[in-house]
Amino acid sequence: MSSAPLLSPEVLAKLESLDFVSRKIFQGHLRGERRSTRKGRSVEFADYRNYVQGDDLRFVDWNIVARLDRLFVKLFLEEEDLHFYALVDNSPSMDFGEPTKLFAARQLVAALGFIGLIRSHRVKIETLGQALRAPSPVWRGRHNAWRMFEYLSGLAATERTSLVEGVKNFGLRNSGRGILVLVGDLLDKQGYEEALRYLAARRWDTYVVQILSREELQPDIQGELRLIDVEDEQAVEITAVRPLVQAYDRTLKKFLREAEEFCTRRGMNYLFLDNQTPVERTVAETLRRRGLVRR
Amino acid sequence: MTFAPTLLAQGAGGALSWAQWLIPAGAAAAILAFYFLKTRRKPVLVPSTYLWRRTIEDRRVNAFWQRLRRNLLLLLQLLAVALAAVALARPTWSGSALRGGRYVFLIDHSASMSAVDVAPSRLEEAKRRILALIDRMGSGDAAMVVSFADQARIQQAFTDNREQLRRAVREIRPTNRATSLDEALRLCLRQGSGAAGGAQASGSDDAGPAAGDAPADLPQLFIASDGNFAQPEDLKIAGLNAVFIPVGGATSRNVGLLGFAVQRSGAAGGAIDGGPGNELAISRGAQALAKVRNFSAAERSVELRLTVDGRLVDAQRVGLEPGRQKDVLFTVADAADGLWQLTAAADDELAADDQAWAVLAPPRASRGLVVTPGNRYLEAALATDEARRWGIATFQPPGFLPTPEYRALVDSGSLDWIIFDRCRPEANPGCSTLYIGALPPGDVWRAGAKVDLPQVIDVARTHPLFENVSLGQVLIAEAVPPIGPSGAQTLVDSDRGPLSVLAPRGIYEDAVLGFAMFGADGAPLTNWPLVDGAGFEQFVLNVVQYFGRSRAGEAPAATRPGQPLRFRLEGGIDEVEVVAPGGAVATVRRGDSGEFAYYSTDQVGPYRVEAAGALQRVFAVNLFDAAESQTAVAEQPKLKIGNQELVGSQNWETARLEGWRPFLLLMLALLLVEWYIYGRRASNP
Repeated sequence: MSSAPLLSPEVLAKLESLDFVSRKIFQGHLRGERRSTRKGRSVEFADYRNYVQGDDLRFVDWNIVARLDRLFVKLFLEEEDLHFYALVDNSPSMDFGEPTKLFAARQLVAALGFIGLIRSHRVKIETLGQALRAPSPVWRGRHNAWRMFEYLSGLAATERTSLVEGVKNFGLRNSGRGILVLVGDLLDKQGYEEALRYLAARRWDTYVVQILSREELQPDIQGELRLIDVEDEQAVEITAVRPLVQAYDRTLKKFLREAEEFCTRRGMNYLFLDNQTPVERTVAETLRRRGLVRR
Repeated sequence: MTFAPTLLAQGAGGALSWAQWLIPAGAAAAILAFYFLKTRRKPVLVPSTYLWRRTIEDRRVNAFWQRLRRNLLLLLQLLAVALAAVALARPTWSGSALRGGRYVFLIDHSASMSAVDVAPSRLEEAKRRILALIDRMGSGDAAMVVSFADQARIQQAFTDNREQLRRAVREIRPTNRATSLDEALRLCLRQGSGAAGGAQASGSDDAGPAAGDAPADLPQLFIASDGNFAQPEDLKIAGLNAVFIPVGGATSRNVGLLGFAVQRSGAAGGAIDGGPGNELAISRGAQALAKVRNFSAAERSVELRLTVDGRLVDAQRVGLEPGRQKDVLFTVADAADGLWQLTAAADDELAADDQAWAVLAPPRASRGLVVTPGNRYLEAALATDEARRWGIATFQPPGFLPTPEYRALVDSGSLDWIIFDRCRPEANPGCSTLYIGALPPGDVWRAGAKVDLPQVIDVARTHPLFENVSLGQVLIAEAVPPIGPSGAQTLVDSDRGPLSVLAPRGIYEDAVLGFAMFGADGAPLTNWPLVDGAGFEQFVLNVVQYFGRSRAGEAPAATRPGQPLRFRLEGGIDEVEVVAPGGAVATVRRGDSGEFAYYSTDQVGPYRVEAAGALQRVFAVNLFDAAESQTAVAEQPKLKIGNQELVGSQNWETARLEGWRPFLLLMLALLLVEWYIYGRRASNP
């Protein structure tokens, strides 16, 4: 599945018209396409203020000088860029499903990253298993799209870092602000709470995207089984009978409900995906509805 | 078949030895082992076992049973083995041959039965066992329910109505009383013999009809008790047919208070700040003495908290070795009058003995009356500072006795004691009295023959009345030895008969001096007041202190649960309300004798006497009974009634009917069912 292109040209065409919406307004590093709270240089007029010594004479409104014989400076809205971060869980548990959960995650991140690139935002994609001192490259501009796709295609589900550790490392590497999309299955034996709490404490506009495969959502198993965890190889012995599967279903639903509630309470956006949903639908419909992107 | 008990140890288990019991147990274990061994699990790789683990943890409690539910064959196999084991044990049960049986169910509801070492309490457990027996009664059986503590009470007379019997058992409430099985046995045998005829009981001190002739039909007794009481060994009952059902655990954690008394320090006069005009300068200090005993088999540390009217005054921590008793003394410098309460903070199974109460009343000189034709020694002795501090005496001639004023004075209840010198009233007054050269009215006292020059040979100097009194040098010209009623105590004995006798009269006491101090002509008949060191003044002081002690601020002796409270009140009060510790209020009217009597002292604690909303008196009712506090029940509890020993067992069964065959048949049927199910599963899996 990883050999298939992440995004087809049709999908890319659909994404062309989208941009991010950030609920929090951040200061950018460079002038970009986003309106900032800072006044600065653009074509969009914002306000007047009194001239003080040192102001650029180019911005003095000479018409007013002529009429009132007083110096006023014209202020314009500054347009700035936005930081878009994606943090992908690439633990072995993501390598499950048809297509794999990791593939779905890569598709989503590629689509969002592409939107970021074409809107001149800073795009940075990292993984949970990434070493503390190995930051990912930062991309900007449409011409970097192919580099980003290549980077994403190279991600393999091999790293066994816990969610908490991965998130903390990410936080240490990236001190800036912006939109953060965490994509993973949240199935960490230590729980996701501490990691998400850590994210909530930072200034990112955080989106948590939980991806589970059909096999996890509706397990089709029967008989006396020994379930072996692919990450830590711990085994659980079960007798897969209907009451147990029903109980699993209840536990799963409770788990998802709890995760959503946990995120919502802490001002984070939560989104649940299964590995079968087409990425263009996710981005163009679900994420638009949830307010991450706009036309 | 009789309703005779058979111990489980030799009964139901009697058919199989321990080793033989292992066979069915082993078979069951083998079936279970085979069941669990036969599963071979298929390994499946999953992204995460996190959710599965959570699911299983949620279901862990009933997972085992879920599995069993699916596995009918295993259940059937286990059931078959169980049935085989039961059949091998040759089960029996009580037969239906109990027609016309007569039973008496005795339930102990004394203080120790409130122990909570068996949940919810021993009494409830005893009631449960008796209820189970009532359930087993056949039609036509009649039974009686008797509750007993220090007194026995028929809760339900003989009836064959089982619902009535059950209700009677359920209605039995715990008390804090002591235990006397003797009384209960006599009561129910009287009932039993009255109904059945022929049963006879005779105590050793009871010159009743000789025991031995076998009674025709003595009811069977079931005694549910913890066995912690003096066993009625002297009670001989011919043909007694009794079953002892012991209730309670063999280990005890109990720590109990066995005594508590409060006394003003210096009450004997030593610490009183003497001096003229300082009559009521009694020291403000007090001492509280407590006896606490550890009834458990382990060393215990107990915190004793002393409060007065709810205010914490002192606390001490006492370490107690197993089975040891300690006296703990609290010295309180600034003693307040009121209700003194001692709490032993011991986490044990019996609450009734963890608290004790005592009342310290405000000190007040007692009021006395001296009726004498003239006695200057008595006048002098009562006029000393010391005597006046303890009691104020009024002097009247014998002619005062028949007057209505005397009657009114006595009936007012304000007198604490009266001294009758060579005279006596027509009726006993409502207070303690001393008769000098006279006898109390009525015919319970008798006068001996008049004797001359009796020689004193013994003085009860341990008794408060003759403390520090020495009659060795005293000459007595003539005396009439008084002979008191039963229960009287000789205080002074001579070679010619008793010279002073003290006898109780209800809550009062009458003391009699068998010799007058002056003859009819006024000539002295004894040199007692003149002998140096003979202590006549001390004797008079003793009389005032002893008879007036309840007024002098000394706590009255504690009442035990079940004993009546008798008291007099001043001020013409006719009706009082007694508030029990539980809050129950009872109205008590003054009796004909001017006394109030209150009987419902089942619970320990303070009983408040109120009249028209004002508190009059407080009485403390305390357990103070080592037999009740000893809550441990012996491993093999025994009950000795006369020469008969009843050995109780925690489990016992009634008569046996062999019943193993149905179990075996049932097992075979089960096996057939199992074969059928197995065959069906094998043919179409």
